[in-house]
Amino acid sequence: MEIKKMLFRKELKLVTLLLTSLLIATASAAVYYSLSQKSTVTIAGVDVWFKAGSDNNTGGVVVLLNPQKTVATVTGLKAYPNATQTYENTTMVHNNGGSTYSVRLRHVSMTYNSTQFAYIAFTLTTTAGSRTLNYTSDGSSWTTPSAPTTVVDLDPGEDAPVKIETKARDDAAAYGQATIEIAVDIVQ
Amino acid sequence: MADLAILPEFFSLLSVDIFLLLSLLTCLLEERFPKAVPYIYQIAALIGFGHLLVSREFLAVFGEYMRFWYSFFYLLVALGNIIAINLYLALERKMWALAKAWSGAVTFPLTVISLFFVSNYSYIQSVEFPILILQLGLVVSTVVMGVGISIFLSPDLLNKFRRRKEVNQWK
Repeated sequence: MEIKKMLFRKELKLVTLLLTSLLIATASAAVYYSLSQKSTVTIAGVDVWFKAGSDNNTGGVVVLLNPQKTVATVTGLKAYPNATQTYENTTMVHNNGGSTYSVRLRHVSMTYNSTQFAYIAFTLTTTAGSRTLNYTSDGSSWTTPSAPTTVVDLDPGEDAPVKIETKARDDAAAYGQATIEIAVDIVQ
Repeated sequence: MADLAILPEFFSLLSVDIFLLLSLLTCLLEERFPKAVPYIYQIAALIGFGHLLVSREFLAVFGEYMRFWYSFFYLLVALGNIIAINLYLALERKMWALAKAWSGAVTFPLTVISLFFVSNYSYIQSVEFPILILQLGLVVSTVVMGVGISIFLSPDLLNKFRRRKEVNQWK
């Protein structure tokens, strides 16, 4: 009876230690696995950036670039009632890398104090094709692009112009404004 | 190549497993060890787990050099415990058969496995061990080789040593 008791005590102790050992070993392995999954991200140099286009400083259009040339602000664009105004080359997207990149246009945000526009369209043209992001108004509300454009290839060394077309409604009052922020995505 | 390399924390993980193994083995041989030993080894393994957690949280702060050395030190502590148990069984408890079995089944394989991973890591990551470790290793090897040759040449030496111990015990 005494031996049985002793055996039971030893077994119980062993099972307890075995269970805690399994728990510690599994938790440690999980922590090690999560450590090995942590990746290092290096800041890479920018290969694609903006350039001011030929429309810069003409007809009141001003293109401002940040020092890294990754943000371009275009001001002084006009829209005329019932007439399409086209700015053929406000900014250019330049590929300075050694390989072809796939790029697309994407709507980010829009603020306005008038809906008296017909449309504002942004067209990126590369040697592989063109993609357009179109903002339209029916006179009472704006319709913004719900999805990015499909991608288009931008070859090494290529300068792809961004064309902007504007048109106001024929009954539009002057001084209405719309500010649009779009992004040029590089899809890898 | 760097992606395939083991992280320095691998040595902590290995040490945790060694401590857990020691805990279970000392529990199985509980008549030969103080009762608290298996639990102490469990706590040592838990410390290793905490060690891994700290490493994960401060991965960016601690450099690879520092991470390697504290993990390696923890591995040395674990290996030291294995050898200490081996010596305890052989010298203190005079259980020669068990000590031999322990050295063949636990001490030798785990030391070889640890050496393999450490040399593999140092080869890939180009870790330079201080010359002191090499010197200590040479001294330990020389002592072990000297004792081994002495026992091999005169087997009575071991019996003499045992007898002297027994006489001292009866005094």
